[in-house]
Amino acid sequence: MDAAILVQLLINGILLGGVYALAAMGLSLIFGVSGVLNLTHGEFLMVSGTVVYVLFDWLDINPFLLVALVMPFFFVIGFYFEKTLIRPLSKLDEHTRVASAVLVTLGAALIIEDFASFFSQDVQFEKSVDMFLPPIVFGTVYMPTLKLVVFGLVGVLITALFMFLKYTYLGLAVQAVTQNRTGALLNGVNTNRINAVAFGLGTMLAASAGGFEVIHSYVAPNIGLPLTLKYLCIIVMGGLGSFSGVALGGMIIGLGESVVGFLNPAWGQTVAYLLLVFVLLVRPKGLFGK
Amino acid sequence: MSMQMKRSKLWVGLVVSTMLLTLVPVSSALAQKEIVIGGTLAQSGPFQGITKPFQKMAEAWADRINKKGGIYLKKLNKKLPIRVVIYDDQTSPPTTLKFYERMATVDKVNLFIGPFSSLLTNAALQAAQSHSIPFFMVEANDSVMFDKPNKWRTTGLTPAEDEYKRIAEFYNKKRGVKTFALLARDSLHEKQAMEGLGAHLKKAGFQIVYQEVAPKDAKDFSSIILGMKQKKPDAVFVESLPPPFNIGFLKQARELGLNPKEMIVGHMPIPVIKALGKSSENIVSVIYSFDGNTEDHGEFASITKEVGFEPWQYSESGIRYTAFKRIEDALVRAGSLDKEDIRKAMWDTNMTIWGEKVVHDKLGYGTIHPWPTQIQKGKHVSLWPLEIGLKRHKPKNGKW
Repeated sequence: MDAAILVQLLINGILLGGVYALAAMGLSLIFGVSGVLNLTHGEFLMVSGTVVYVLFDWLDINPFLLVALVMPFFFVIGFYFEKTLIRPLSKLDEHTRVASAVLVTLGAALIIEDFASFFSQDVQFEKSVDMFLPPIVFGTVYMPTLKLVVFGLVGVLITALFMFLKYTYLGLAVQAVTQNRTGALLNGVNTNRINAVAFGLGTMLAASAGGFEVIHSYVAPNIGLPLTLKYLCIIVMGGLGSFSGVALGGMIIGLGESVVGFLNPAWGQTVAYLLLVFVLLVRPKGLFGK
Repeated sequence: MSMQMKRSKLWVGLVVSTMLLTLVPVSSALAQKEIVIGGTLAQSGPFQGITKPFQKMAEAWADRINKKGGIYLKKLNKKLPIRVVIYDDQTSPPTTLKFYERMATVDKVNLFIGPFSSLLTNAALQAAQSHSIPFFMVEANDSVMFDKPNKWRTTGLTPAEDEYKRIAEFYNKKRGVKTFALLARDSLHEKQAMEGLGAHLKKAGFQIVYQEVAPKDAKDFSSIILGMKQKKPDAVFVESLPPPFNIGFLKQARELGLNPKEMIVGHMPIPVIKALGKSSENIVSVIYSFDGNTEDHGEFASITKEVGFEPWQYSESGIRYTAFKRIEDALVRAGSLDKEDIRKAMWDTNMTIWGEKVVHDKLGYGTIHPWPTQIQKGKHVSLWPLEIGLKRHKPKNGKW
């Protein structure tokens, strides 16, 4: 493999891994705070992508602006999703609560998928925004500009999330609940409210990833659950609750898919799961798990 | 009463009962007031974007026949109207089979018309076999269905391997390209179609420099595109029925500077054209109709206009039309609603549609394969007949 090809593969893998990391971070945040494995995560991504597509088709304005516009709405959706469907489960014992939450979010995911499929009958099943930015070329290496912009925005969003968690009272409360729920409760943190905030933030990140997805690729009603599984792989590989681990996990999966896909396209998709098994054999708690 | 008389009465009774029993099917056929044709279509799920108007097309076709009083069935000596029963198969093989079973047992259809794709047809065929109902396969030609003996099925299409025969013919005449890169989605139909095109191209003297199959749900094509770029093909061909595969590949090819002289996409429905916008200009594709002035061309255009679309918008609508013509022809020649008569008539086809001869080979394959088109100003423009197509064709020359 010559050097130019290798560089191109690395660029592609890193750019791909960035979007994976963004969406997986939302899932990780929700899991870290509330202990709920939110199987609707990919569905919110898909719905957001669909909304961006419909608005773009209707208003014909910059799709990145539309992503910024829909994000707050998805915060509210995530917030109330937790309040109405997840909070009632908090009275159950831990074992039953975890199992019930999986079933509730799975059920919600299937309902959202069916609704999206039903409403797509009058639009179109696969939605993709037509946006193209000419690539930046270095010799034989092509930098896909659109993906580069998406990657930059992913970086901005992740930095904003870190700043929020580190420098705001609400962010510190989120961290406190993640580290020790009982301790946070004893110190006067409203843990129920923090759970809802985490769901809101996580859903908002999924929504931004959905918007980026429809710009550089496509969304369709049936993409949600497979994406959730991939993000789950990333957060388990990175170490549950570790944002740095999620960022690294996303990059590893992106690079793995890019390099393995070049050598043999049939194995490009499977590599995420093989890497997960390998990492768990070597470090059962994930790369950054404690 | 003597023993002999009792015995003869018993014989008479038996003969009369047998005669009555044999008359029952005839009288029930005579009593039948309509011809029921049943099938499923994907009104939801990944194929909905391809088949959306086909139900209305079927209804428009039935209306036209019914306005003329129906189809004349010689053995019954009367015309019967057509009723079309269509269910939404949700692009799901189990749901498809469930509805074909229902049509056999509840709706009591006289013949089946197939769903979209080999994937769904393969599931539906089980109902034709178990209930002995003639089945006209529409958009289905994978060998997996023809490997299994099933006398109830026929199709109008050629084998999947010949699907892109005319693309090879076109470039053979057009010239200007020598090397091809081929990519197919990992499913039976797409693989067979790609391999068939490869064989036709090689036969015509072209060189295949890259050939690959990508996973069904592939979203990232960057490594495949890099592989193709290394080989510097003059033309790139990509084959996938569901649009996401093509959208993903083409958008990334554009971003990563894959700029062949010719870009050929087997299935280029509206979602793909829309996703690419101006970049879809001059991409070569195929649809199942072409420019012409036969009576069939007129009727097809009139049906699609009535339903509210242009033929290029739903590239397989032409196969649907030929299916209707085939069914109509088979029913007229069968002259009855006897399933065996209809089945035989379907197999013994020898007719002309769109000026082209339609017959069957011994396996049940037909003679229809698609005609080349090119995206110009956001629409498919027919590149057939060949002499017109060669003039209309515009080289893509790597411009996105």
